[in-house]
Amino acid sequence: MKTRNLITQLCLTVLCAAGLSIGFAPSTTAAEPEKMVPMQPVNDTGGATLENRTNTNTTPRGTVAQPMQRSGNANATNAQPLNTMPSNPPLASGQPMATSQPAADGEPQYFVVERLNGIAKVAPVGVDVFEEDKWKELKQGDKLGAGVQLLVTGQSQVKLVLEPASPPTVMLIEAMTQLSIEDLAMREGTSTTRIALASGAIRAGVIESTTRSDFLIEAPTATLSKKGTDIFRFEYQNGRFRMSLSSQGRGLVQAIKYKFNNSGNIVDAKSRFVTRGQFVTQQMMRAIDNVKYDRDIQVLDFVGLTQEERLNLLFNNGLAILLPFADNSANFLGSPFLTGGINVDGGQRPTLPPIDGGAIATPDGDFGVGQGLLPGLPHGFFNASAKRSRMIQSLFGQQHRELSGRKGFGGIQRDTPRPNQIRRPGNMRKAGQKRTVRRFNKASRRR
Amino acid sequence: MRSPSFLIFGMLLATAGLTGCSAPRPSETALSGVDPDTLSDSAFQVYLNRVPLVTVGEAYRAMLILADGKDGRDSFEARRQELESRDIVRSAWDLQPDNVIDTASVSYMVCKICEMPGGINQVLFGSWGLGDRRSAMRELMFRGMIDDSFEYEYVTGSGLFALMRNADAYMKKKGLYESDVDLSDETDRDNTGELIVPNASGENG
Repeated sequence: MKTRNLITQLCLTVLCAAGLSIGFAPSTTAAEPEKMVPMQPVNDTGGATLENRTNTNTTPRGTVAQPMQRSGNANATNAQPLNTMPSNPPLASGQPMATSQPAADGEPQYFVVERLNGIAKVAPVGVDVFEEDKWKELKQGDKLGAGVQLLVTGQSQVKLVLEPASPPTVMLIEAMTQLSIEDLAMREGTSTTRIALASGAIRAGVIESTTRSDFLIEAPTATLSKKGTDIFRFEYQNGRFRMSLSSQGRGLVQAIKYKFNNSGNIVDAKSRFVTRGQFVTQQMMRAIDNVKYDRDIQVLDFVGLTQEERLNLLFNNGLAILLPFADNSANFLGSPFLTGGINVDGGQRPTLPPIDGGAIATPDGDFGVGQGLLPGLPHGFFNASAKRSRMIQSLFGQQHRELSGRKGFGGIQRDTPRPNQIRRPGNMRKAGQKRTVRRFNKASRRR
Repeated sequence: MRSPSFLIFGMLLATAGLTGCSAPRPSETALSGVDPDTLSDSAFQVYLNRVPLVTVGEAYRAMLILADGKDGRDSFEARRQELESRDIVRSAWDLQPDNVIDTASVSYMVCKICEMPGGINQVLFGSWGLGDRRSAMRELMFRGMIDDSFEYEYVTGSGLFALMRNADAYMKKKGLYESDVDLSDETDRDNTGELIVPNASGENG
């Protein structure tokens, strides 16, 4: 069984390396667009669980995804053991911040608490969360190195900044999140960051500069690999995750989902790239298939709206006002300059007398976005557009009733074009000209 | 004519269905070696994430943590009175502290804390108690905060933890508690769209 797993693993490795190594090259300057680096083979870690990882302070680290190499060598395995890091990671507080100089190889990096809201606790990796005397409350200015675990409670957020700031990295830990910082160092000119997320959500942004960044967030069943990216989000809870890149995000996010056998060994890995504005969940569907599950739920509180909000809502739903023809200056609240437009053939169109600035109220309602009528109910019973028309009519007074041409509004002579008619070149009539009405009968249809 | 065994089976099934949600939590579904009453609020949240099933007492404490950020009470009665005074819990439910809590009751509490008005059913009927919990559960399902489930389904610890996190995010977005810590396109990008990475000293870099 183990031999079969090993063979399967090797086959997957060769296939992945061959497929991803074609056409990719690492970018060397920040000005060049970020290109994808071949993904390193997935090693068998004996079960990618948070508990296993957090107890490896002195044992060599079996990484799930290897650090990215500048040379693009897909088979290189250069995972540095954690025992080169200090066994007691520094947890200093209130010390002066380091200057933003690029870190030398092997020099440790720290996350500094730039801002804190609520309560967050920190302890060395390996400390059980129920051993509360060993947990310390986090304060602004604290420095967090590799080998610490964080617990952010409800109604709390923590914003961390990487120091030395090369590459510039900011990370936000959202409420009710538990994670550990597994690795944080500079190796061969690459800033390596490994975060293990037990539950909760992380948002991060990394600006690629002269220093490359190898940023991985690992959860028990999935891994997020950054590809020159800013403001990506990784949320994980009990085997379910969501990785997304903000709508203005840069670069790519690679989502890797693992499949385990009964022994807890990784037997398969599925990968998908996420570009800006997209997200992927544990179902690993394509971005376009996820769109149908991404929806905004509007909450309209009509009682709590202010006057300005109501007016804005009215605007967005249509005012049941027909603007003067061929005139886009929609200043209908009092502009004296609004007149009728110009005919298509160059002649002057007959103008309608403006009402308080030029708007002509009609009871036509929304232009395709109204609620419409309910069958069996009289017009206007539930018709919001009709109610708006009546409201506007009451605002604008008697004049529009005479011009609306609808029954019950005073009416106009039929030989005068109605103001709510759409004017077309073939449909133009002069005042007093009778309208030609076509009547169809069976005989004409046969023709 | 149905056999007596069938009738007895049907009666037992009906009884189980009616009383299923009010059963105490089985010992094998509790977290061994941990007494939640001795835990701090932060440790209690991690405990919730691990416990297989959640009792009414634990859910009441979780809801107070969700609403206020902290518990501040040391007994079930004090929590119950606080929640009932805010109308987050209804006294008519008569939930017992050691029983397992159901999805609908938790949904109602979350809706109240997050000030979700709900739909027309919630307004017309739920306001006086008819289907209030079910309407609240449907509201949360509509918003994608919980998975599709039944009203009487037991609440798991991780499920409640995930719901609390979603509710917390909703409350932050709605402004129900103040927080100036954020990382988003709206707050952390300059005019050219570049990410603003602050210095650790607090100045923007």
